[in-house]
Amino acid sequence: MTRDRSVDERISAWLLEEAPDQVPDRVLQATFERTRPSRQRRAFLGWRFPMYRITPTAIAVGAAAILVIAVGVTQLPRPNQSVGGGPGPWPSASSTPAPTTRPTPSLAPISLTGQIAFERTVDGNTDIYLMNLDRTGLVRLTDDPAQDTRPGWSPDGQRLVFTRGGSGEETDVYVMNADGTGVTALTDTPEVEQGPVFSPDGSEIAFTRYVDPTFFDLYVTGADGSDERRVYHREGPWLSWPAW
Amino acid sequence: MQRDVVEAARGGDHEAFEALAMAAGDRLFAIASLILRDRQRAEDAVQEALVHAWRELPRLRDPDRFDAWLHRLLVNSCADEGRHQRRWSTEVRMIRSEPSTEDGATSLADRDQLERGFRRLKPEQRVVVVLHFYVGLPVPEIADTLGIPLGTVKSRLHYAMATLRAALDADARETVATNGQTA
Repeated sequence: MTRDRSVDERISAWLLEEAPDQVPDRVLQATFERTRPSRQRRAFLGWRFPMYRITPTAIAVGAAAILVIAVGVTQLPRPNQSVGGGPGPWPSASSTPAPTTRPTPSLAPISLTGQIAFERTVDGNTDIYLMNLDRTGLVRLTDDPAQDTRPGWSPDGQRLVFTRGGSGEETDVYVMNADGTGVTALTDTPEVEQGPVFSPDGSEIAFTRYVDPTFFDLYVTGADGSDERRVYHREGPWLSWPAW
Repeated sequence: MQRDVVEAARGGDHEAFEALAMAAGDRLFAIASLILRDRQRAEDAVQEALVHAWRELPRLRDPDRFDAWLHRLLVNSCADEGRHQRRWSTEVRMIRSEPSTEDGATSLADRDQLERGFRRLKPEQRVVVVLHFYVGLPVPEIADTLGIPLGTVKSRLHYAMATLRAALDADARETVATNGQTA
């Protein structure tokens, strides 16, 4: 026991020495920037884009995406339903509610139609929005008091999958048409579903499910919610955001 | 006192939330840094946990459980950040930039061996070790915080301790062997 206590003390001392003393101010500032419900924030795409993650690979993927977008915009135009009326320019910075968005979790977040889907928080409520890459045609696709997050495109650009509920609490997987109609719940559980993503042929959707932070299951379901099946189970908190 | 602030934040008072976040920020960052062993990812994990906390506060049923709830959100955020670390064991970085010194509470040899031992732990074992030995949570409280069975926490702690003890013992054996060769 004496030896065990000694080991305990050595571990505690080591952890105390290793732990940083202070959280950098920028972390809290960035947090408050994202959570303040009524202050004006930067009206760019709203992506939180950590500079340290910019890699040559990311740059190459970005360049390829821009090329795809250019082709998509010229070849596959599509009319939009605009927020508060017909299509119009991106609102000015002074009148734009602060967007708090994160990148779409899909590796190809931009649809074949040259539009981008993203989550946006206004007055504490997060919904799914759509807009053209020239910042026109802003469309609010969902309008629900729950948090609608993490939109992901179907391969044909006709549908979106997303999560509704919240983060860290009960969330379910939903799909809808790219114009915001046909919102359908694919799951209805008290558990947390995360990271839904369409299969390459668009017929299925993979997502993770957990009840607590340490037991994760990987599920696949048909794109219509049928034939849900668990394909992987692990004990451990590090299973999330599947990809095909 | 904190209960009042939590209730205010739960009702949408952002200044109350900022006060809570500032009070918890250092602790959360320390925990995330120890679990992830990566300062930048720890910063992201803390930010995500706090943003989630703001969004989910209205759903927090018991304001007295705010700290435990926040720890759980942080563990979730660390899990999300962990997915970026494909190879846990080889991406470990030392957080402290200043050189280790022998006048600290931990010897240079202990630091090296504990770092190696910690590197071998599974993520879920790291969480339990940090919550127990750094935060100082008793085992039942860890189970309650993470929402997992008490036996699971005990098991993870047991295997984590065995790994860390083996790392320290290996160092002791090396020291004995070295001394034997020089004698």
